[in-house]
Amino acid sequence: MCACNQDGEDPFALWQQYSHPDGAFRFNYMAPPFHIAANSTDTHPVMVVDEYAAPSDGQLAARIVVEAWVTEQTLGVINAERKAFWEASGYRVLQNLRYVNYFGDTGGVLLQVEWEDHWANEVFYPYGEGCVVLSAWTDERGSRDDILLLISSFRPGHGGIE
Amino acid sequence: MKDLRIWWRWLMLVSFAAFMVAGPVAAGQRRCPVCNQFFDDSIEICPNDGTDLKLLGEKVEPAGAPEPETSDSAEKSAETSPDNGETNNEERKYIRHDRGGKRKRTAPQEDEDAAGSGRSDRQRRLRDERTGVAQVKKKETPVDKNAVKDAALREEYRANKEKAIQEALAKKKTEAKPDPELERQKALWKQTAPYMSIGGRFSWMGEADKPGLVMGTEIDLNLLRTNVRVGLSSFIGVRHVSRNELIFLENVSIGVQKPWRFSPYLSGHIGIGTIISQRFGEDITNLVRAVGIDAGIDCRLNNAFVVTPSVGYVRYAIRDVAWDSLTLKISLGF
Repeated sequence: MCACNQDGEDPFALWQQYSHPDGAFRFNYMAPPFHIAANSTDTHPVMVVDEYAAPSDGQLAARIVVEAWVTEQTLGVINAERKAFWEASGYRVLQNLRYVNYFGDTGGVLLQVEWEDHWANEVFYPYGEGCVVLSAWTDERGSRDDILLLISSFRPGHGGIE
Repeated sequence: MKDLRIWWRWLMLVSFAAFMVAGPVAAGQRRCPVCNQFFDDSIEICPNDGTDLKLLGEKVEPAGAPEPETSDSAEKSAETSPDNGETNNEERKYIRHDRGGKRKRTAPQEDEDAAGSGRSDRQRRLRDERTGVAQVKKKETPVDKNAVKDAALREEYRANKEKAIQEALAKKKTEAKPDPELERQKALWKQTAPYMSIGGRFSWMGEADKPGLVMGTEIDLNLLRTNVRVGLSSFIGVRHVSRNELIFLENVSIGVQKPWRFSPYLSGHIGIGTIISQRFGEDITNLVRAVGIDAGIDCRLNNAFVVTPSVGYVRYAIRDVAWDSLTLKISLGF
């Protein structure tokens, strides 16, 4: 019938995969509805859904924003820095705990913050001397399950923690 | 004078007697062997008993020939013949009983043996004559009342028998009149798959730890319902994953079946459609293809309804992603 080489049981079977040029991280996203934002780079990809004409609340310019990057900061430092950032923006911390992604990669930390309907999730995995970070933000509640599924696909390196 | 009168009277009497004896001879007569009455030669059938005088009547011997003997003279002759053998020839030994003779041997056995074949011939002729007389008598019997009655009885019997046969046939015909319910049941057994059916189909398109049950309504249209089964079907359903997804499929099916009240069938189907899922707050539409095989039985309940359970295998595909699934279906046909 077709050259079907992917099992439909895989939740990311119909998703696309973004891989860092240096292999620092990779994650899955669905396009559509995601598309690459104007300010996206290969090493710091930015994916958005329903980009707004004017930035919402002066912070983000789309209904859903996902970005990933590599930092030289350690896991503890970057976790504390991002937590302070969100708290300074008026968000409250819902969770800040160890995290295991969909593929079973351990060593990660999840930071979950919320303000009204605004909801942000960030995952930190140590990578080399520093860390890799995935940040997902939305201003609506309806997409939270899909965002959790997206961040669960975030993996440092190509074969786990390096 | 008185003597003359007496003589005259005697003369007349003798003349009359002579006339009575010689008359028939002179006229040419025959004697009926049955009633012993003399008739003219011109009379062919005895008016008394219908005997054919021409065939069986005895020609009266012309004058001078020896007269037929009376019974007394015959007896006398029979008694005297063996002894004197002068007055009777051999034929006179046999006197037919119907001519006044008696059924008794008229000559000693040795004489009869001596008679040789002549006697046998006479016996045969006598037997033939008797048989012929009996046949003629039987044939010429004008009206036999018993025969008429017998014929009437036969006719009545025949009529009654014919009537009885007709009644039996009518009864059999009445009994053989088809029972509508039976005919209806027979007609049901001759029917086959429904022209249209609607039912529910269940299959699975899992995602991660979710079974992804796909359930929906399928409408089938069987365009060909002989041993080959060709149809179209439309499916609309829902896939249950993290959130419900809508799926539409249009299928073409072809298969084989045994047309019967309970029609087993095996058909393959191929279809194409769309699956609409909501991801990240937006509707995502993907082209979905399906191919599968179904085996089921059309169970006809009555003229109007058919219940069809089936089981099969289906493979859904979206782009290069595939799901293999068991599929179950139950439908109600019309």
